[in-house]
Amino acid sequence: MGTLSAQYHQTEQDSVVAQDTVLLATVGRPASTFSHKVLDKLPVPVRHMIVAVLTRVRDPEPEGSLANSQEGAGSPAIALGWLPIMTLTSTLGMLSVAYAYNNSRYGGTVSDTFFLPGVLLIFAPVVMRLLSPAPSRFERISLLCVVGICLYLVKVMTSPLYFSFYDEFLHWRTADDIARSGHLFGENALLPVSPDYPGLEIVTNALSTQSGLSTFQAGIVVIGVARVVMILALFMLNEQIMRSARMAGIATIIYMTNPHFLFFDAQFAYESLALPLITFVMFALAPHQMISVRLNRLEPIAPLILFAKARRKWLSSDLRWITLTAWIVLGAAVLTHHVTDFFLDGLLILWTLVYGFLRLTPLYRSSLAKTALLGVLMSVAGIVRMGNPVVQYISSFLRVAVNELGHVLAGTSSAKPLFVSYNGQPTPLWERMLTASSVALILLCLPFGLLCLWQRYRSNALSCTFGIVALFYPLSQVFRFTNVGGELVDRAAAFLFIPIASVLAIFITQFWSTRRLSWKHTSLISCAASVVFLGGIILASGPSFALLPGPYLVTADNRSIEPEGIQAAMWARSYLGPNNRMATDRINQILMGTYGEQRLVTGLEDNVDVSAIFTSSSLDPDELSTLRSAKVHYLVVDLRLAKALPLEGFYFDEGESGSFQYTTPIDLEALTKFSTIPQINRVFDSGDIVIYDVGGLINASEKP
Amino acid sequence: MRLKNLDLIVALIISAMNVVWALLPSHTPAIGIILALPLVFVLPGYTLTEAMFHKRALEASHRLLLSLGLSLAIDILGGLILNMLPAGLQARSWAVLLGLLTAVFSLLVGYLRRGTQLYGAQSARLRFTIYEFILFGLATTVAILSVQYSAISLANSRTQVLHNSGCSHQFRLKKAVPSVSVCAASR
Repeated sequence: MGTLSAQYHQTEQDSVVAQDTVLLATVGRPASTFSHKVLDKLPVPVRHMIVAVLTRVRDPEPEGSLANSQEGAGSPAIALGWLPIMTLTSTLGMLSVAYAYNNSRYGGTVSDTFFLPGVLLIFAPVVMRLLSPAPSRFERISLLCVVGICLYLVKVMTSPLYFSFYDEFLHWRTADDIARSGHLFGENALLPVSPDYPGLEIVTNALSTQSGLSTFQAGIVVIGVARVVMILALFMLNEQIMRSARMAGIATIIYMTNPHFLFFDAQFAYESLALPLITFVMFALAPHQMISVRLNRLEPIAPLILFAKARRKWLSSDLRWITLTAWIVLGAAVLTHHVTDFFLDGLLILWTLVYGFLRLTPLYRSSLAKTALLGVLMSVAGIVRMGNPVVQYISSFLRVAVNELGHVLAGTSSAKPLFVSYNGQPTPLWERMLTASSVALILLCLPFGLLCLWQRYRSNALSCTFGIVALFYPLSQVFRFTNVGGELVDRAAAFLFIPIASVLAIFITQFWSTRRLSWKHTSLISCAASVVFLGGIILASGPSFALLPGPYLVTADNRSIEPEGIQAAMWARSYLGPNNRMATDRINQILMGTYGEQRLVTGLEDNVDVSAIFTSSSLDPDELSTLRSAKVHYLVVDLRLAKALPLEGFYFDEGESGSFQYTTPIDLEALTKFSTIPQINRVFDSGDIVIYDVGGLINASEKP
Repeated sequence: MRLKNLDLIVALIISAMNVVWALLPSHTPAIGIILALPLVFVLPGYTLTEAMFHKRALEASHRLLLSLGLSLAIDILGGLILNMLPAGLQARSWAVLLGLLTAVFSLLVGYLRRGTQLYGAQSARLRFTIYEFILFGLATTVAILSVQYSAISLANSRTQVLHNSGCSHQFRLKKAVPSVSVCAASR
């Protein structure tokens, strides 16, 4: 019996191997003897799984006849499909979010109950619809625009009346300076590099001056338009690569799961405009390979055959105009954001190298190579422009992050514990699981996606470039174990998700071809996408969903912007006049710098650390020396800093002593010591915010 | 009969209206917004797209993307040009620059299109049934209500915070006199 069983088992195994061999052969690749031998040595379940994976990866037509049946060819009416009902569900999701915000503002605890389900209601139904082969191209694009705009309005609704995100204030100052002076390249102590990259502020100025809208209102519109450009550019870029509207739609909706899509890249900041511009450049250049290869093939026969000559002329004209289009927008991107521009330069260089490696056409004649060179030259020209502090700005940040990582790897400092906020509040278990799952899902699916990309798209230089860039995502995760570098990971995601979304879209389409796609598969993929989406939101929102509206929190960026601080700043503008040199904490810096139009003494602009002035128990000679050398005229003291730990990990500046390591709040006596010094006048006191005139103490009588 | 260059005529009219609007001494915000939006976000990019790809029958989605993207880029590069001029970045200089660019591109497109037939097959039409119309109307209403709800909620919460701090009216009484408290300390 045992022998019969063993024989039967052996016969069954041979049958499975034979079946696997047949399976591999039927998808166009003969099963090689080598792979047969390798597979033979593996256990049956593992072998079967590998064969199943390879079968799916090598499927030459995962979308069947879908890619060929493009709607709109000759059809008289555009099919709306589920667009109307999906639009309604998305807006109902917005309503749920608005309700969550309202409760949150008054200290309610229903934000989790209504906020996350609300954004999910915007996102998940559209994912399910985009996975289906049924929607028309028009419906896919429209659904993506609806989701993108609704998610953008989710951010707008956090503060529909005034700017509330930290970075928004930095750029608002630049925009206001341009509006006041009518000229660019001024100074901004809050973010010294901002005036050198004024693209966003220029467009905002164009709209606000001509329409009469305020900077805030114009900024909302500009970023909204940029959001639409981003979605369209992503869709059409992916459509060019994958030749499928369905895959392009999947890739675009996957991009929206990046942690920065919902809030950070929807704020009034330069990256929010630069990202759509560079995506547009990639879209413009995407047909480059196809056109260049065709031109190369026509080159020898064009002088002989009239048709070939005409075709060559046509293609040359196309190439010329798409290159010009790319160059115009590239120039705009260089003026908009430094890091985004550098990322594009790096991508163009890599793309050129891959293109050259594939030996498609001579590189020296390639428009791609010329575009990469032009991009680098323009970036360098922008950097070396006199007074541009971008090199110092970026290198100081990177230096700190890399040093921190080095110390962690060397064991000289401990890794930053995950899921622990700086103000001591624990992260709930479900949030931890969601965020960990979102990263894990991407890391798990990425290798399969790269395998599918290699099988189907390795002749496309841009696809290969995307595959290489996507590999930076797993590498970047190590920075999560550092304090400063943690921000780097999330910032990088906005760029890395462009290629990652393409890779994952290819993976989804290959593994769940339309032939075998059932409602179970659709639900599974939608659930996974939703986990990545929600996990990304929690990652970016920070502890206690600090990016959402709610009661005041100490040094919590959005949650620290409130009327008392705004009123204090407006008082300073009215009664002290503008451009007084002031020293204060992180939040009052941005309020005084914008509403107050004051000149803030900052670490970035003045290379001065003012934290000790506020945190020390007495004004020692060192602190006095700092006041004198920085020519500080006024101190703005927020007594609430003594009530709690800072959510951001620091009160004044990332580089302050004790940053990310506070265990107790600032001593109240340290903050109130100024009242005991006779030469210091208290000129304003709202209860929580006190403004002191230290001019008498340091003879800082002149305004800058 | 459809005018061959109707789109260019509309572009020229809107550009001219913007220039005239910028020269007027007073402005109604609503009209300013309606005029400025197409001039800033659509017209320069659209006319440049038509000039570059006049021989190509572009799909509507491509045309839209190229129009928006190129308009943003033209705005940014145009701002650089205005910065070099004494007038700088102001309403009039913007209206003149963007209007001029739109006009130049439009005239170029008109010249390039001469003698050519109206291109492209009959484009597909967007048609709504009454059901779809109602759904879109509801969706738009819900979206507007959601944003309004948030705005009202924020405004009310601001008022409440000011009342709670006891400082709502005392800011206005403050004069620039040293050592005067604005309101009772509530530490």
